[in-house]
Amino acid sequence: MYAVETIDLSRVFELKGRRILALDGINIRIGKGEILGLLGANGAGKTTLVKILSTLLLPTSGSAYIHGHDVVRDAKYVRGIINLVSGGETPGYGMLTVRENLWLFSQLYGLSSGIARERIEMLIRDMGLEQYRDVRMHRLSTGYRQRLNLARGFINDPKVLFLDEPTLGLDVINAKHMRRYIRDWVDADGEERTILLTTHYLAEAEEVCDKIAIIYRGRIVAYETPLALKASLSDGVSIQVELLSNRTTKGSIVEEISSRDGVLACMLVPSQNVVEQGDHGGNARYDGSIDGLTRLRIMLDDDSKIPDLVSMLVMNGYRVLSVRRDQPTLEDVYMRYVGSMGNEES
Amino acid sequence: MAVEGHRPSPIGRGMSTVIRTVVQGVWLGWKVESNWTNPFVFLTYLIAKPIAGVILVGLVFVIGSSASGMGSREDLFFYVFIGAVFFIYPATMTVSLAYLVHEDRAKYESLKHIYITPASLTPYIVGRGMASAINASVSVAVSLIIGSIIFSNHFSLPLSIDVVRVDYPALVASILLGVAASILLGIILYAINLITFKLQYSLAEYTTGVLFLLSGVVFPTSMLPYPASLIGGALPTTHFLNAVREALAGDHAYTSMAYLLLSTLALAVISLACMNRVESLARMKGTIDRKAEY
Repeated sequence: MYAVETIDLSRVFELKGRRILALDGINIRIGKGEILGLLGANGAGKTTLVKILSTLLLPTSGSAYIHGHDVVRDAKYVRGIINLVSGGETPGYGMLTVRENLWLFSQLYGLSSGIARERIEMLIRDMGLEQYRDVRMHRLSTGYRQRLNLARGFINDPKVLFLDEPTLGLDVINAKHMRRYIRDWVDADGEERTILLTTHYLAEAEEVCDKIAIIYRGRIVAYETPLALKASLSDGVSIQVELLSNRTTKGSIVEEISSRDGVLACMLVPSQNVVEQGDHGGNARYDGSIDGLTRLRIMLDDDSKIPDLVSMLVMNGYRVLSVRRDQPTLEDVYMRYVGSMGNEES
Repeated sequence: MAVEGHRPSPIGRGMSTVIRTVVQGVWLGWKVESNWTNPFVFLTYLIAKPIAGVILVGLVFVIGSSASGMGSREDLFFYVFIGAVFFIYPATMTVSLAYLVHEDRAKYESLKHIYITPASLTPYIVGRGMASAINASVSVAVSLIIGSIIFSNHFSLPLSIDVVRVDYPALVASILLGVAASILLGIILYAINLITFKLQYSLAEYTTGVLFLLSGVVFPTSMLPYPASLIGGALPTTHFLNAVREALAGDHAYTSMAYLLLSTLALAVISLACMNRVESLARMKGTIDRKAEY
């Protein structure tokens, strides 16, 4: 029995007479003790899938099971063994304290008073909320509210936890804390605990997930371990190119390169390195460029295409500062399966 | 970071989840509605607003009776005043429950998290309704005392209640049934607001307006045109107000109470069926966690 299983799961939304296919025959199987990362652009269907699995939404067709229980027919049972944390949200009652908010949910999950108190204290400690235990929620900073939100997600010690972009809007330290907690929580009882994590952040998925599924326009286009996904790119070559140009339209170079023979994918790199350089005096922008410097990540089917590519760039008025061959990353995997179209959507 | 202490949740241990949920609903409702962080707002909401409403109705009665030349009639004043005071129950509770969806869904972002617990929404709403009933009881008591003092001393309209003649068991039973009916009515409004967005503020206002008109608050339902009087006669709020008036006057209240009981039972069937159906619809339409749609 799988912790989570979906069979040909589809969901259609009707919006002002238009039919929108949000999920199109999704088949996934998440084993007990696994963390599955679901990657996809905005509108790819990640949240819709989580909503169906967490009994908030009905599927249009197909079926979904949590520990063998149908999320439609057996919703009551399923609700007892799941929980959901949505990033960017701070659910709870502002006039209740941290402890009271957790107490409310512990009671809605039917925990006995003794176990509820014990678990609330443990979660308050684990989330670093000790000094805010008796502080009303409306007085907490956004970061601490999100810690409280995460604590609420663990209050019933769920067998399956859905984390929908849990680090959205979090600063680096809070996000790191959250990722580490998630991994530790599953590892502490890998036979019982499972997580489905949706995220935009490839590094986050690579850091904490056992398997990764890439969802694109409502369909799962890749589903494997991070290593296996990267290995699947062994037929291709990943390079990073730094260019200098006064041209203002970055989109056109991506299109030019993408349309060439032998190019599997091309995207601008909005990398942390760019931000760091900006911190040291450069005028950094989150589009892969600093004062005319552009970084591109390009997947080629063969390294013999590199000289031709460089020639083309030079002929088009670019100054090629460096060409570096990289090991495949999840970013390459994502580019390969979703391509520049997915990049534009996000 | 210690995570080893987690254990599988002992769902269903101790009190039943339903009772627990009702209790939590009452506790949360009291915390949210009393809003102790701002006592001025709380007092305004709980005391000043209902008193103002009751005095307004009383003054309309005084002015109307003077203008018509019929003078002040204590029995008519009793009818109007008691109707206006005890109408606070359905008015407060239906408004409170109708707004609850918007508050939990958009303001506190907690509705979806409450929905995905094993606790059903209905006991939670009942608990929140009971918290609202506690607040309404304070408003009723204060309005009854202060209103009767004002009208007795300044308008020579004593409230003809003989504390020895009051049928207290009937009064308490009528209030309990009236509270139950108000919660059930609130559940219907909650259900409608769960699958809609544009009505969340207006629905409660319209409903209390219609109830005020059709429930015999300031005039008997027999004075309404035929179809309206028929609807008024089917409403538990009508029989609630009649039963309370009769119990306070020491008259025979049991016929009104029987009608109140029957109409409340009918309303229970309708509201629970409505909630059940709407929960499925809300899951189908995806409205449980949708913030707004304008």
